[in-house]
Amino acid sequence: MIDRALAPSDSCHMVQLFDNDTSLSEVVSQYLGAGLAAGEMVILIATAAHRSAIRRQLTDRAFDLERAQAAGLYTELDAHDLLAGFLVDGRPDATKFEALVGDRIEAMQQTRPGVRIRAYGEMVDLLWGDDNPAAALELESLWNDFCARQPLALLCAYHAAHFGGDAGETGLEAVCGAHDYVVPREQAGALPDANGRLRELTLLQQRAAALSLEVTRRTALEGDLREALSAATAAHAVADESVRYNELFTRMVGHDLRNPLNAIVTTAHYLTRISTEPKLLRAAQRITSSSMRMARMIEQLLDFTRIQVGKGLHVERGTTDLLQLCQGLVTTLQSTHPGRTIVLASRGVAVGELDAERMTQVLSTLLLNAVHYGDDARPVRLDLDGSDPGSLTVSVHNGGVVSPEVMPLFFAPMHGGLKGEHTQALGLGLYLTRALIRAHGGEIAVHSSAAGGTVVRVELPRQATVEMTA
Amino acid sequence: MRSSEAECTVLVVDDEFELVQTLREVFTDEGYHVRTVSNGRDALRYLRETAVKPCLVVLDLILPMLDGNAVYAIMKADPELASVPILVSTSDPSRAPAGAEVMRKPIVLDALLAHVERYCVRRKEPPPSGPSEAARRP
Repeated sequence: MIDRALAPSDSCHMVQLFDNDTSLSEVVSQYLGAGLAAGEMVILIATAAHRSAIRRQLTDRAFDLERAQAAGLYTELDAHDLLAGFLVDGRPDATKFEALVGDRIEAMQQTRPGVRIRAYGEMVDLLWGDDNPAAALELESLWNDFCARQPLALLCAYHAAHFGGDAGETGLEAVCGAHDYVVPREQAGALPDANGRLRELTLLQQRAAALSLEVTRRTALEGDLREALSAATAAHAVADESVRYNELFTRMVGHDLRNPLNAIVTTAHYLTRISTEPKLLRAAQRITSSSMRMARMIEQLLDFTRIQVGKGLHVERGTTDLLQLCQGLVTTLQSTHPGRTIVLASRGVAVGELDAERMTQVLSTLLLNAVHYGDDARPVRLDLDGSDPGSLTVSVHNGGVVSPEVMPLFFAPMHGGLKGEHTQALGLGLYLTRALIRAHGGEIAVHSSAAGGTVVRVELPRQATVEMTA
Repeated sequence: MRSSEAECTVLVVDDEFELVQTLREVFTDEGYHVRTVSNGRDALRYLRETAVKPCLVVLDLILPMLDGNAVYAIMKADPELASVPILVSTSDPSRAPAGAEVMRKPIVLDALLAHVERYCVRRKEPPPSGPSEAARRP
């Protein structure tokens, strides 16, 4: 392995990349141990933690370090302290390096002429780790100058993590260029013969080629992803713009259109108060009736827009007696549709925490639909069931039949599936009814058959469980 | 303003001119004094400058300069104005301040007049059948 790079009397500057402290201490202890075994002088320049680990490994291999140290064959130096001694403004000073390091090694050589010195140092790793690669490379250069003058086998080490990314590759090239030998992390140098090393090299080349292909594939994929992201961002911007226009529309309808309509309705009411002329009163009542219908349509459009932009419908809960509410609605409806029979049946206590105004809207829609689209010859039946302590059930029954093709669209907005609905309304009534029931945490369903007629069944929790939005 | 006038003065704060004109005629027919302003800033200015406060403020919510919610909050926080009754009139009651008395638009006149009667005194009795004879003539 590393030792194979060392000729007996040559200077040699090597570099080892390492992934972790364990593998580093193993490599360095083998390298220094080989020197001690060969009777060479050994210098260990490392951090306290690394020195301790390497010393332990050498001791485990039966080297008597105290004796070697006493004989001048083994020297330990602290990498931080030594580095601090020759750094000036973050850069190694050549004169100080010579005095602190060079002179010391030369003095050691003079004690045992002809005996090679083998050293391990990691000051360059400390500099690189401090984000000072320029200083590390300058120090490598000083070591190279020294090795050119004096026989020294020097092993440096760098943590492999310093060389990630494109900038790391450039740095690694510079580090490799500063050394005679580079020892890879895989310990390829440990292979027993040249043939084995060639096989390993071939494998590595194959891996590199595969990696290069993978990088190309991933780069193309990244390009596709960027394009997709860009398209998604553009689509999102269009959607945002659409939501913004929807909100603008909501505000416009909500305020600008409702205001004059309010004035029309109130002024028509005023006409009915100040006039006794029958023709004028009838005209004022028609204005009122049409205006109120228009006001309801605006309210429906606003609710529809709120749902479409994701704001949902707000419900204002309060203690509400559904029976009382239904009685009022049935009385009103009976007066406006005297030819129809509307039957209200109730059991239990139909009181719950509900939005009374919204429930009036719901029941009014269901009853009006039953009256308009049911069988004229059969009664409309409104059943109210308050016998369950946790929920309320309302069923609106009429004798008409909903055709099978309309059933899936029964609650859909603006489908126009119910006969004549769009002539008097927007086709949003049942859609908003379902939304309001869901905003109360309830559910609504429709069943229709020739024999049983059509039943719309609403089930509502008496209390709010979680805040719902339609 | 004389005290008797204040007791029968309704302040209408609304920016819909035609509605305000109708309400002015309705209240006048019913024997009340009427003051009208079209934005929240003028409403507060009037309320602060007048010595005797109106018997009721009919307050729209969406107003220029200063909206109805802000006017409501400022009045409730001002000891001089906190006791002046307010009726919020809005097409969207969910936007009304918490605890406010609210009348949904379009306004039903009978309901509005019933509300006004709770807080205000007529300056003169209206004719037994409702509006004055003058108001009946076009």
